[in-house]
Amino acid sequence: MGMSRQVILTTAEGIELEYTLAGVGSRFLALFVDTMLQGLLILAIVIIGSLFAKSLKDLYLDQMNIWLIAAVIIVIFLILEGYYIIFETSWNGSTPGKRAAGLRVIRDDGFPLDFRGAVLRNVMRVIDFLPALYGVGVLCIFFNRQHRRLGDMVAGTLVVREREDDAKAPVDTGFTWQTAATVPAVEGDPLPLELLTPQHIELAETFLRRRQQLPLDVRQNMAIDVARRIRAQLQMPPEATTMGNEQFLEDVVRGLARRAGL
Amino acid sequence: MQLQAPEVAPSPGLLAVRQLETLVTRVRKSGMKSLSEDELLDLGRVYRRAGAMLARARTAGLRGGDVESLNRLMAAAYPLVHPPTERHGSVWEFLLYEFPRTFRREFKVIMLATLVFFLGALGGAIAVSCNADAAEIALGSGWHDTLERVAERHENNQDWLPELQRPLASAGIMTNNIRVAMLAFASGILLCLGSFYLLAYNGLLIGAIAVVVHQHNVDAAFWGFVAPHGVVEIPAILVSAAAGLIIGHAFISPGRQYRGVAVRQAARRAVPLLIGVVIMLIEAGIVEGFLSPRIDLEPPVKFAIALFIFTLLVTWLIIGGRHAEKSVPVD
Repeated sequence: MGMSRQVILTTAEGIELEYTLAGVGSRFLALFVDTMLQGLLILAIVIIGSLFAKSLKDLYLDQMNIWLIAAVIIVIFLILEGYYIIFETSWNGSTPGKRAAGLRVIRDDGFPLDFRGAVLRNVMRVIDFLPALYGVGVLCIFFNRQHRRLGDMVAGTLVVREREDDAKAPVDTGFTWQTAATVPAVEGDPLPLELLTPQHIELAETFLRRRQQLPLDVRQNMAIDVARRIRAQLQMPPEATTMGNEQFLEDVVRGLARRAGL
Repeated sequence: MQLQAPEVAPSPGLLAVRQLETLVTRVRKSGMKSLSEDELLDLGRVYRRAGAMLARARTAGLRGGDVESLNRLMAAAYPLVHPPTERHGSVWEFLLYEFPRTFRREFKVIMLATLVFFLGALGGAIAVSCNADAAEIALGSGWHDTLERVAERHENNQDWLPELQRPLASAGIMTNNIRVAMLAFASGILLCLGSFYLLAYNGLLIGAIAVVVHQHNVDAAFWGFVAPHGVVEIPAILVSAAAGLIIGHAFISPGRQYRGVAVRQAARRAVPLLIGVVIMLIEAGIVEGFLSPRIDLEPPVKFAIALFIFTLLVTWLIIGGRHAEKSVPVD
């Protein structure tokens, strides 16, 4: 899908909150699911309504039927115009379609989406939709660095990816720098960790996080490979230690955390 | 025998993060009131500590799952530690205080919208009285016949909207009007043109229909029909268009701010108007469906009802929320 952009919101005290922006593709997926759901709800209402109708022949001649039709019209109106507003306000920026696509609406000032924000971003849909199928919206997303459509610009919101997968894996990662703080450093010369680039750090961290899901032989080979690269970057001789590769990588990350005072 | 490395105590930063996690989970489940006074103080402290941890981890180049979960924790804690500056009250407070105040604050734009509408009406009336085909040109094809039919409805005191159909008419009118109001609001972003166009068009329509009605000599019956709901519906449309103009104006001339920021602030200022308009249009839809089409009520009675409703409207807008009004408008 191409590079996904990150956005960093800086809160009042300078705390940086990092999010990944949703791309056009995921937003259309969410839109598709939401539209299908709206259609199903409307269909359901029409069916329920017709079940209650006194008789479908001479539909317009019975007063109760007319009230029923009037009620159905109002409910359909609510489904069409109120669906997004109601969901985004009650589900903290989420809708069934957005959940399906793993997305969420957030305010760019870090606060949860409020009713008025939801009203604003959804009332603008009628303009975003022009001339057909969100033409204006897509153009805005394309030309805007934060992937905002007109509704997002007016309401001050962003649509970001929710990373559900990491949220569900606190225990089985096996190693985190948070546990690093509970285990003391291994004896020996301190490693010149400042030589590591962000890519090296990411490589080591990703391996450590995912290793338990790998088959044993793949895991061993990856450990050898990653450790070799790290050692090279640290200008250590290739078989410098007798310590296991995974242990080495753990120490590297531990060392980084310790150096940062974490 | 395997030597185990002895465990050391978790760092203070780490303890802060864990405590923040506990407090945030508790607040999310049972609300801020479930925290004791000490815990509230702790919340602020551990929040700042955890924020420093996040910053340091990022600087160190760590990006893994821990950083992300700390990121999420901070994001969840932020709104708890800093409640948003805008505090909105209940629906009741909105209706009684906030909407009338917003109306008064934005009165100039609303008057501008009224002016455009009135000019449109004047133009429509003049055009149609000079030339019978003006309706087709100004409003679109088929309008000449439509206007004729509307005027003819009120001839001979016929029951053109029988009681049976009134709920349906009410629902349809209400939903249509609300859609129009939302469009008037949203189209303001198009350099104000959308809202102006809507005002002019609806003004033309009223002017044209007024002349056609006069030509059919059914003025009393027609205006008797329009008055009870029109005194709320027309101001509602005017206000929603004015709200659109507020946004459009911020887009066109954002002053010394960035355009995006100006538009966002203008939108926040304008959206209470739209919300109030929706409520007004619900009322107008009910009146237009059930009261206005009644032929058992003579026009003078309907005018009296309209006057009564209008007086309530004006009183509400003039007096609502005045008791606590500050001299500086609150955003």
